[in-house]
This record gives sequence, C-alpha cells and structure tokens, in this order.
Amino acid sequence: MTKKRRIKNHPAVDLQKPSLVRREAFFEEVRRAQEAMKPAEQFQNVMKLLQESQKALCEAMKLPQQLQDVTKQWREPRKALREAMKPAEQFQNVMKLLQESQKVLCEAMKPPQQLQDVTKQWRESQKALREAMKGAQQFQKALRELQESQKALREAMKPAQQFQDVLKELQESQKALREAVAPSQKYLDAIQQAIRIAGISGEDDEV
Amino acid sequence: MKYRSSDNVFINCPFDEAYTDMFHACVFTVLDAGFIPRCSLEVDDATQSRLSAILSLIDHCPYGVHDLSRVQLDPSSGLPRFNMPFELGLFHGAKYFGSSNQKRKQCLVLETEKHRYQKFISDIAGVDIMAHDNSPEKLILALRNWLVTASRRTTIPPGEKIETRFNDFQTRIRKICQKEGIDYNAMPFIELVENMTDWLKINQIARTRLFNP
Repeated sequence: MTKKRRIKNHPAVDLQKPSLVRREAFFEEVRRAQEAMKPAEQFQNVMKLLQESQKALCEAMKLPQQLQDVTKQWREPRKALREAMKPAEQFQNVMKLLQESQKVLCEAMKPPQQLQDVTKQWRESQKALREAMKGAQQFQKALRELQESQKALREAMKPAQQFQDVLKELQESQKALREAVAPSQKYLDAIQQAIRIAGISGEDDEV
Repeated sequence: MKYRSSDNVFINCPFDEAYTDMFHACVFTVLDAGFIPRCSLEVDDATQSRLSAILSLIDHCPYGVHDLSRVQLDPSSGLPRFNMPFELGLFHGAKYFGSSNQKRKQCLVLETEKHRYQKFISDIAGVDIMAHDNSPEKLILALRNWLVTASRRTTIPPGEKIETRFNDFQTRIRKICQKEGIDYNAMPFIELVENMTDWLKINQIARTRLFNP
C-alpha cells in the first residue's frame, strides 16, 4: 500500500516566509511557465497580424462597395434598354414564324425535286443510248463492207470454178486411164510371180 | 498541518563546523522519516535561560538522539565539552522522574566507536550505543532504523532512499547558496529546517508501508 508522504512542519518555522528552496522552485516554475507561454506569445503576434490584415481588408473592401454602386447605376439603364427591346422581340417572333413557314415550304418542294432527278437520269440514259447507237451504225457499215467483199470474192472465184471443172475433167481422164492400164498391171504381177517362182530375182527389175 | 509533539525528536549533538555534514544528515533523516527535529539551536529567546529552553525541549520530545562522538578537549580552552553528556543525563532524568508520558521517552546514543564512551561515561554501560564512524551514511542508516524500531511506524522510507535524497538536497541547496552568496555551513538551524522541509515537500515520494499490519 502506498500513501503520499507527510512532511511535518517545525513549530518555529514561519510558513508564510518562503525558504530559499521554495523561492528557487517558484522561480523555476515561473521560468518553465514563461517557456510554456512562448507559443502563446507567438499566437498573439499572429492574431495581431491577422487583425491588422482584417483592417486592411476592410479598407480595401470600401472600393468594391463604390464599384457596386456604379454597377447598380449601370444596371438601371440596361433595364430600360430591355424594355425598349421588347418590340424587337416581337419582330424576332415573327421572324421565327417566317423561318418555320420557309421550312414547311422546302418540305413541300421536295417532290418536284425528285422529278428533276428522274429527268436528269432519263437524259443521261438517252445520252448513253445515243452513244450505244453509234457503235451499231459502225457495225452495219462493217457488215455492208463485208457483204461487198464477199460479192467481190465470189466474182474473183469464178475463174477458179472453171479451173475446177478442167481439174475434174482431168481427174476423170486419169481415172479412165487407170482403168485402161489395169489389165497390163495384172499381167505384170503375174510375170513377177512367175519370175519369183522360177527363182529368178527380179528385185532390181522395174515394172 | 497540525503540530504534534509526539513527532518531536530532540537532537543533542555537536555544532562545530567539522560535524556540519553529520548534523545536516541527522536533521534531514528525522524530517524525511516524518518527524520534527528539535534542537537547542532553535532557542533564540533572551528572556528565557538556555537551560530552561533545553529542559522545555526535552519535555516536549518523546524521542532523543544523543551523539557523544565529540566529547573531547576543546583546542582553544583545553577543556572537554560536557553539553552532550549533560543533556543526555537530563533526558534520562526526565524519563526516570517524569510523568507517564515522560516515561515513554526513547533515545539513541551515537558514538564514533562502539565502546569508547565507557572511558568517559561508564554510568551508561549496558545502553545500546550505535557507532557511525563519522560517516553521514552510517548515521542516516542507524538513525532511520532506530526511528522505525522506536516509533513502530511503517511509513519511514528505506535508509538508502533517505541517503540518496539527502545527497540530492545537499547538491541543490549548495548550488542555490552559491548563487545567493550564502554560506550553507553557517545556515541557522531554523532556516535549514525550512529549506529541508520545503525541498521534501516539493520532491515528495510515495510513502511505502513495509508490511500491512
């Protein structure tokens, strides 16, 4: 068990009179308190600075006050201007209506626009047809030229026809000749056979 | 705080300069143990004779510390100083002849060596005497232990603690006296008690009971 110590006082000691130790301890406490008060002093200095800056701010705020008065005065003519502008606003409304009607008109004009597009397409197809027709004309011309050249060829072939007839006659005469020569051929073959049988080589012999 | 005479300890010891440290140690131990040191040095009344003042002190002190270590020839006069043995005798007389309160008186006799007293005051042979070898530490320990035994109080701090605190006080007061230009060794008894009391109050320690009765 622990209790706080009890130090007894001597009857001859004057408790009102501080001893050296008590005085020194007191001064030490005062010094400690002063040390502890230093931050508070700094705080007070800061507070002073703050108050001064607030004062300066109040002074500086006086000018904006004047500015506000001027602004108020400036706002009043603007109000009057706005009032004066009201008829112009009506004009703007009318303008709006006009613009809307123009829009409606544009919408209504769109079918004729489509017709114009079809016309354009038709024109272009016509052009293309014309271009295509030009080629056909050239073909016809070439065909005509071909027919003419065929005709000329045919005319040119006529003497050759005659030559064929002569050739035919020649071939027929050759045929007749070959038929006329045929018995003699048989005769020659028989001779050659006979020679072979006789053992006479007739290889060098010509018929 | 109410003054109680039951806390009074009569200090009967030499007051010469060589004994100053021992005397201061004795006064400090009595205060730190929770008692009040009383001594003939506090008597400063011209209307009262020194003897009657000492008798009055002895009357009001249930405890007494008597140091006989300085019973020797005075170098200036060549005669021995008998104040301490005389006051010890008065204390014993009060105990023997006094009222029931006085009969409860208890005292501690201190000496430099244990049996030296027998050579000059053999009448007190058989009384337990403590030797301090002129060492304040030994005096503190002997006085503290005797106070514990005599008072049966369990709140007295250990001797080592008292010794440490006494050294701390000495360092502090010497520094203050040096700063103030005061001779600490010549400080009047009451002023010394004042300073010790205040120092102890400022540097209070928890009082520890040695055991739970």
